[in-house]
Amino acid sequence: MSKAKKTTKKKRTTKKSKAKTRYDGRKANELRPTTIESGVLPNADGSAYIEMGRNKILVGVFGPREMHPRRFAKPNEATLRCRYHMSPFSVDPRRSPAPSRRDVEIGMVMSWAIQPAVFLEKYPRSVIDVYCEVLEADGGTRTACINAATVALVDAGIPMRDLVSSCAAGVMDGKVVLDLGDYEDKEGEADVPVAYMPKLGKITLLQMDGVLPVKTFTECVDLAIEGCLQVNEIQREALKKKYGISEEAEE
Amino acid sequence: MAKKMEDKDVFPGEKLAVIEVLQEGPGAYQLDGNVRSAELGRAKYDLKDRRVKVAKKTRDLVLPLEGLDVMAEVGSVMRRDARVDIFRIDGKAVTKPWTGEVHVSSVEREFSRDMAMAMKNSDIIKARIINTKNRMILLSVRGPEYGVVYGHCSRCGTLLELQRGRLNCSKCDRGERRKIASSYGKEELA
Repeated sequence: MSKAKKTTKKKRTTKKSKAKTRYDGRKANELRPTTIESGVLPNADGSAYIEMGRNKILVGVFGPREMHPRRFAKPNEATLRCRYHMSPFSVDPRRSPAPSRRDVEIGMVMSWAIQPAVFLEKYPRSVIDVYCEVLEADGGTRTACINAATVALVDAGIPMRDLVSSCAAGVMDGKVVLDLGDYEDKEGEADVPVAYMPKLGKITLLQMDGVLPVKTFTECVDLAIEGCLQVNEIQREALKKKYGISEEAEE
Repeated sequence: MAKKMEDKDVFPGEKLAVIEVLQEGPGAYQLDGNVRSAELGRAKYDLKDRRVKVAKKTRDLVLPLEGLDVMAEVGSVMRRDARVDIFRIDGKAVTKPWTGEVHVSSVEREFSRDMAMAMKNSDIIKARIINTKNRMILLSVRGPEYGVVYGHCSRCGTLLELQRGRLNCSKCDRGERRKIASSYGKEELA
């Protein structure tokens, strides 16, 4: 009996010593490998493809175009309509292709996160459609979708106040970590997705899944903003590559 | 300061100037006393005009603006107006058609009794946008360059041919009346 107890203790110590790095070997403030490509869909007005860890997401933007049904058109501004959809093969086990409550909610949250950056008042009675198709999901798809959607909107030639960059931070094994994957999302204590406009210094999305003390929550938000700044650089690189931007201006 | 005023490539949100020095031009906007870029493109400082503009490198938006010429397909025609689907604006194709309206008052006086005398369902018209402030985009076909550019026979659907200023169907030999544009049969649609 005592031997068994000793073994368990030993195992725990090993786990703790290994917990310095995360389950996938990343540091606490490290993003997953992220690449963004813009202008991948010739039929869309603007498009982008993002790989964020194992997340693979394709985004197409159409508009500004006439709103259908016409009664939903706003007389003073455009509507930003986001559709988030997970492909049936994006997760294991297979998922129903019908839009779920979660899909509708994430679409709405995305549109709220991107809206402050778009000059909607310039295009009254019209709609800007953003279609996000998640081809493979590995946690943090809403933040990845926001990142790709922003690049696609710029690619579509829609004027914007700033680029919207998004990243999540959370708590896993009592430690604040950046850019949670699916495992950390499910096993961790909390998850705080943040969308941020870096040049204007404004947060456009702040959610929290779980319960956190105020101090840890603040740490999470700060770390998420740090992640957003890293994502912003990747977004700019993607646009630079597509449009041959020579040198960026520094403020 | 002089170095900062040189033309440069910018991303949306980048600070270009302060409003005490320069005002915002096309492609830029003003926020909290600063002029920032609204486009991905090249910022150009016009020191003579005291403005900073951003020439966008991304695609130009195709929007129905007042004064632009459009091509549209006629949908339903009623006595006083016709609903049309605008599929080309200023020579550029749109991904999804905009709905427009041609009121009988925007056609020449000789057609004022009935809109069906000026255009019929499935005709292709060339028109000018005269108002975008209401729920519907209002179009005008007044003037010799505006009107029907491709018409179809109301009996057999064959494309009508312009012969001596009149429209005739080559299949059923039916003569039809329309508000004909000077470029009838010559407009490029694709």
